[in-house]
Amino acid sequence: MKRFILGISLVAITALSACAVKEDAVELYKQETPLQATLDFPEVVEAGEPITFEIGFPVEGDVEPDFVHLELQKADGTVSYGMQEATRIADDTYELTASFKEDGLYIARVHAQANGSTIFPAKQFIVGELTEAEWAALYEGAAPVEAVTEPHH
Amino acid sequence: MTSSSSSRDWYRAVWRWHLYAGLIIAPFLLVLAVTGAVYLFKPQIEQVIYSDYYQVEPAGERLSATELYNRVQAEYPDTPITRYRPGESADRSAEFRAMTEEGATTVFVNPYKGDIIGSQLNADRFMSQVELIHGELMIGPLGDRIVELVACWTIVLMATGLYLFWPRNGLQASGTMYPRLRKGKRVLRRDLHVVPGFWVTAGLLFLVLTGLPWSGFWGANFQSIATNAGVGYPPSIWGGDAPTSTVKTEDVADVPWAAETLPVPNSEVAGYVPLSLEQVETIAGTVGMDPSYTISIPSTPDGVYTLSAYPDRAQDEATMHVDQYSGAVLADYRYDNYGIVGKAVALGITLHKGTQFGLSNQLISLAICLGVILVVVSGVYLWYSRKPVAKSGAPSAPSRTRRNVLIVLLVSFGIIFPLVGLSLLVVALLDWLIIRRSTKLTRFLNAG
Repeated sequence: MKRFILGISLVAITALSACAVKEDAVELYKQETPLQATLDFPEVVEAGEPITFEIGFPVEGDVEPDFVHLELQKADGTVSYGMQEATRIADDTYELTASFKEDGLYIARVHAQANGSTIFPAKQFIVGELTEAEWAALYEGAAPVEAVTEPHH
Repeated sequence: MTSSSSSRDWYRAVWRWHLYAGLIIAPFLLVLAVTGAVYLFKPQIEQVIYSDYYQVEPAGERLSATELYNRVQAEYPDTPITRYRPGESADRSAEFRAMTEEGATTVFVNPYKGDIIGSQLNADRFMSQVELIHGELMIGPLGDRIVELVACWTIVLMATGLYLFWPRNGLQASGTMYPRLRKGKRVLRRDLHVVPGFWVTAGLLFLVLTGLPWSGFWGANFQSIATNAGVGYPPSIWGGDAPTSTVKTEDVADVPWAAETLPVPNSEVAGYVPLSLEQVETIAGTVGMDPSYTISIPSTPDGVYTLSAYPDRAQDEATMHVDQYSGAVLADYRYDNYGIVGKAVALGITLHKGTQFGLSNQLISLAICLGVILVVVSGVYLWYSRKPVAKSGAPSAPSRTRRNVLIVLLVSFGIIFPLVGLSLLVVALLDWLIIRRSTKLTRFLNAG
């Protein structure tokens, strides 16, 4: 009986040691190749001053985007500069220069697609000075939550 | 020993296991069958009792998801809102999950007017209670393990039951497929246990095997092993982590600034901003998510939006992870992307819940549940009506050889289902420490 109890204890303890999903298990299933992009521009932006937006695709191998557009508009939607095509300046870098007449809180949204992956990351930035209402909106986090545009598909 | 006495000895040994296991499992199996029968009709029951929460009158344009979110947040300030369910039809309310101090709460919103229809603490929902009893007997993880144990022992009961019932002179329809009504009470009592047992065995085995993969211990391990072998659910659907955002967190806009009162420099403002809920809705529409999908809202800067849909049919399931800043689809798993075991488990779940084939599925499962209830009640009655006074009525303990063979068989089963192994250990300890040391108990249980 003692041997039986010892034996079954060993079996139970071995089997009861839980196993977890391995990190590399994801490679055994369908995988996506999400497009990645970076969007850079100067830290200080003044009204009327030309600003160059640089869009990079920092991934290994050739990435030939089907399109790279930049959508510029005020965060509250009152001013829109529409969707503009960025110019390819290197294999993985595109850029677009624009200037903004009015001070305010703006959103720059990249629309790009490659290998079936569509992305539309956006950055917000301040041109000149913000009004009190814009600061209030910024503090409330309203700008990042409210949609400015529909994704480009 | 002659062949017939050897066969009798085996029969008694199997009967002994069937009787004790049956008596211990019976109350739990009864609870599982009753709650299972009710849970099968969850869609119809909830549609009736929560129609005031579910139904809305379509009137004009829907408000944006962000607007609805903001209204719910205003009603529940400082409360994390973790999920949004747009609703599968024009006349269905939208739902948000708010993590209140009382617990996860579903807030129902009219998507046209934006008013909050009502809210419900998830744990208070009728079907949540039924599910809690069915899945864990309302006592948490311990209950989950007990239910799992009951499921495993039900397999032992069915195997031993089949052995006991199997006629030595060939199968006959009477007493197997239908009860013999004119052969006396003793035969009828036996048939009322055996006949429904014959009819429900295959269905019950199916319910047990399809229910086990979602159990907390065996199921979790089984799923992990299957996922690691590339044949189960892809990671993050059942076990394993969801991917994280590809955007570096230091590049993310520092929002919201909440308590700050002084203007912040552009370098802190000019970062990536998360997508809005309606942009995520648009992605869901583009990739063809089932309209019953739910969006899990990321709670950390590197989290992702997770879109998941578990509609009636397993083939329509979908789980998708979307980068909260770029909108890139990081993972998109459909039924076709599951491994063969994952597909079987997914299909098993929808069949177990009775949703895969609609009403016919529900009615067949209901018949199995009712059959199980009959088998359990008649089994206990059969034992009680036959047992001698002041004795358990169990046949005498088998010879050492028979006992060892049976134990080897059960231990093998216990290796596949470790909780059964653990319960065998408990039984062995009870036998060794208590029963064998008490003449009274040994006599009552016929364990000499």
